[in-house]
Amino acid sequence: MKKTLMLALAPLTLMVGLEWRAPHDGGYVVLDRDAKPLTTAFNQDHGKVRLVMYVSPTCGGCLLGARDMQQKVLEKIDDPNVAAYVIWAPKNGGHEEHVDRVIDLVTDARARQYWDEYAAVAGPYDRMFDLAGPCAGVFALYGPDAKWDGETSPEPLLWQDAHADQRGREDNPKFDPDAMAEQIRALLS
Amino acid sequence: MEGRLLNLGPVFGSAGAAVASTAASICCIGPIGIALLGVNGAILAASIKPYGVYILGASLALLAFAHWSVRRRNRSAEGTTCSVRAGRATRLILWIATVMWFAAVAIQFAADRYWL
Repeated sequence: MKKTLMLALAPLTLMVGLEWRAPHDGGYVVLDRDAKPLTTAFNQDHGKVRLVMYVSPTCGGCLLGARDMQQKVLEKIDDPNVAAYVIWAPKNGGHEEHVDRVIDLVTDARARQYWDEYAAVAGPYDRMFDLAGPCAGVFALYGPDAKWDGETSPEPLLWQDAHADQRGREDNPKFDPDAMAEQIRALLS
Repeated sequence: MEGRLLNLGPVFGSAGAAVASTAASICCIGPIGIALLGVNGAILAASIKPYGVYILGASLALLAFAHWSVRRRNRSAEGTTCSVRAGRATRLILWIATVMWFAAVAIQFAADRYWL
């Protein structure tokens, strides 16, 4: 019985171990209704290759995508002419308190993180990419000349959907961090 | 001892597979998924989600084997082998795994149909 109990508790112990994370020292900016902090930063980085991650803090696919972008794109491309913006959106039941738990997924110094309190970015992005379903999970790449005027972001050079395998989004470009990295390198060269 | 391990292997295997497939199914159900699995658990579940059908299939095979194994041991004819009744804990875990398997199938079905 004791052995059985120990065997049954092993997966639980593993899950608790996996969940343990060091406290983060970074922060995020709460966006207003105009998303000004984001659009200002985006336009100030004119001349850089810019990667926007539109993600929900309560969606496994979004979290996996954000982590992969950190590990397979930002960590692999050590170039100051790259900027990244992580927009945590109130999608899939996500609230601001969830952002604290996921903010460490993207640790790159070139990345700025935002909480889209009023869905100022989420709404226009959903319309632009015609997103079905409750999740975000879009990774969009902008060239050095892109400028964010008004409510809607400029048309990205490349975008990928972490939920392209889901119903209603099958035609969207599939999530592929290696292809994203390749495109960024091409833009930088 | 060998017989006991033979019994426990499929039971824990099927329970593990049922847990994995359930996790893969609930990874995207908003805050519930994150609360139950944690951030790393949700990421892990999302990464195995594309293989959910295969995991469920393997889990079903293991469950079927575990049920057969437990029943066979309970019903062994006198004189053929020593009849050892499977432990209560083993049977309990097996039935929990079975219920979890059905829950995983239901969640996966609902997720596909209603885009949870």
